[in-house]
Amino acid sequence: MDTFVKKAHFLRRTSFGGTLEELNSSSQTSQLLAQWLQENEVVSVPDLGAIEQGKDRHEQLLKFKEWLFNQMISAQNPLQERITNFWRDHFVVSIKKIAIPQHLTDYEVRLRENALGDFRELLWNVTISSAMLSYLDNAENHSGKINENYSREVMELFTIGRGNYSEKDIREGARALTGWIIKRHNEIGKIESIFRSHRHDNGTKTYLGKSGNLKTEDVVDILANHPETAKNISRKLWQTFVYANPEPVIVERLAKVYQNNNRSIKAVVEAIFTSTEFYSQQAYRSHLKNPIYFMLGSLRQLEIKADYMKVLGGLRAMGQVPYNAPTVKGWSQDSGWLTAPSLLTRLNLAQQMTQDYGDDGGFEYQPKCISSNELIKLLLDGKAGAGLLDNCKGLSLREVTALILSSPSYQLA
Amino acid sequence: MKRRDFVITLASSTLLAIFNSSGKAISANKNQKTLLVIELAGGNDGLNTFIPYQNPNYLQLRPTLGIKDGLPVTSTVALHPFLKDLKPILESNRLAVIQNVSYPHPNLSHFRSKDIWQSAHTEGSTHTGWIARYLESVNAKAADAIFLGEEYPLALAGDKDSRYLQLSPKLAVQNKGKLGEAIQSLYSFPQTNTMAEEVRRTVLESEAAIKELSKDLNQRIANHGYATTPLGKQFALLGRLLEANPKVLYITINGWDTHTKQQKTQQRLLEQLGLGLSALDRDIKARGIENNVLIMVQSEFGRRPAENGTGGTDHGTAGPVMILGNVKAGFYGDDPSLDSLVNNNLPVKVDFRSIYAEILQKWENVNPKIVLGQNFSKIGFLG
Repeated sequence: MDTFVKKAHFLRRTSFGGTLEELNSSSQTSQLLAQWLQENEVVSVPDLGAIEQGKDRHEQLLKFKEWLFNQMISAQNPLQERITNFWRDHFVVSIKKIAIPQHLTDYEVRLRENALGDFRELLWNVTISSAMLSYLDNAENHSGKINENYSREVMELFTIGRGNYSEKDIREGARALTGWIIKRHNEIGKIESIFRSHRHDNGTKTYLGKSGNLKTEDVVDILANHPETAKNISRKLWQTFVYANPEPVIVERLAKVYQNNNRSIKAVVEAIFTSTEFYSQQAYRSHLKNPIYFMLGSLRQLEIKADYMKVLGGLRAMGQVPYNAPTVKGWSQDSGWLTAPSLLTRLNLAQQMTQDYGDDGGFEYQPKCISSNELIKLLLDGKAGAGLLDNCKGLSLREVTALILSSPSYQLA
Repeated sequence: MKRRDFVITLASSTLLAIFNSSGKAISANKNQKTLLVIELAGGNDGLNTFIPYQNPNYLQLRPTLGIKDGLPVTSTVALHPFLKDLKPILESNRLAVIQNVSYPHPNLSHFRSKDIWQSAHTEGSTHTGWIARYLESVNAKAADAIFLGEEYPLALAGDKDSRYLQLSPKLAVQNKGKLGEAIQSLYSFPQTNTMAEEVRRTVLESEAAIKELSKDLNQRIANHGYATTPLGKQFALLGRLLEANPKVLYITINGWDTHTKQQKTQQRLLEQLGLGLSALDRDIKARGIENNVLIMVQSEFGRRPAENGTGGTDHGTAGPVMILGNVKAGFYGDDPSLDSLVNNNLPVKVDFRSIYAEILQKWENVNPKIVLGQNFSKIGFLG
């Protein structure tokens, strides 16, 4: 990979694709990485106000989504943003079930504050968030009336994975996780997670080999320090940021980083982005952009101003709206998006996003690139591929942009 | 190649083939059975769909919303007047209605209740859909099930990451002018990157399939009397998709959550449903496949028997499920017990999983226990 391609690849993985300015700047990928890992962008999540019903509630959710889209596109620290996205996709909660958007603002703060921190702290914050307590029913789980939903998923999907626990561990874990309730303060728009000791099962539990009057803290400790968690989190991070199906030796290597650095996510992320494999052919353009990536990435790279309702409409038509995953397993990856709605919609969106609407079209695009070649450099690492250049002939710069956004190569990340 | 990749590849490469061979596919696969699931999302009000018109409690509970001009079809049940198109279907012995359907401890949240109906897991986690589990048990391919709509349903989400086909009538690509030509031309160049080539093929094949599907739609609408409304077109598209002989077709119709303005909203929706089902029934019969298609109409819950103060009804528990096809026609599951409500809601008399079980056993010839984890007693609507 030459320096330019290397940087474009780096920016596709650490952000949603570089802008013209970022790609042409003199700063090197190693500098950017160090800077983004070191600097902590303090993001102000919007205050949605009092908890409302019906239409007002719906509008609060839209306001939240508008903020989220803007943040994803123009984060000061794009790597931190991508890692936050990773956790949002990992620790799935759905607004369809939890209904109140104020759950999400609280959840965003928790994910963002811990995105690159200690996985134990992240897991703790997610576990006791009102969003998760509500989504996987742990707020219903109390002594004498056990609900195993969170106990099961936290092991199966969030930490150690299938095959590393028994049904008994699920039951015992559920008992240890008892005691939490959520309390709404409607007027001030806050939802509190409270531990009520009288709702906690104070008996002895045996969980993944440890016995005692275990509590939520113990479950989180045991899971965060479990070697399988180290492997699973490492594997998933690698899959997302480098390539699918990492070799076992890579997973082992990263798991050690996790274990030797007190479960530091930052250490694992740094190891991933500084590995030689990161710039390998196996990694390069190996991912299919999901709908969120396609849409927000296009807006970001081309610096298009967009009406958030248009963005939402586009995402809905492609089948991926944030906080709306169909199941707790989350979204499909890569080839899971080789579907008619996901791909055909992109061809229409490519045209919509780049048209000249005058004053009111929902998208405002001012081409900064002055030639087809420059657009190909910005969006395709300068690699036109078969047929592209010929088909650019006679098209305006806006049309060339739409053509590139529609092209098969542009769908790769 | 991993199994997941295999399934997806197969999906895109067979997409075109199955939709192109409209004439031949039917004769080649005459015995293929299709289950068509129509989900009325939002919670349809069963009491104003199949009206207990002789029960004095009915009008007491619904002084303004109660329907007095229903079409009696039995000594206890009248159809909503806007469902009049269902009457001939009922009389031709092709409609079974199972009343009072829900599950133990009904949940009144849309999300949770939909998840329960679609997963057929009434407790705990709802990772996978019951239809996907059935399809996996018979090693179905991705093209064996088609979802028509935008929000992919849990019912079709399997244990693996793969998805069944998803189509939407809104997907036509606008390929106008020079740019449109340039895009078409660009897509004629094979890609060297495997994933990019997959993208290219999926786009081309999906586009061709959708073009093929929409081609004779207006003719179909005219031939079988589908409504020309957007929903009518969706039903016509279902009729078209049946020609591809999928094992499962799934469609979601939204808008049934009638807390307010119930009278007008439900009237409009039921009319569309009745027109759609009767046109589909004519379409199916015209092709001689009336014994090969079974249609199930379900909703995540029924609505509260007593009307609310805002011209509607709130979330309830049990509701009716309709089964259209080669059935033992009539009403099952008793009349709603309006005199013995439980927390102001209808008592549950039929577990929806026993309907699934009967479909699995009698229609799909699959052991229900494999899909549902347990056995259920027979209702008898499939004889």
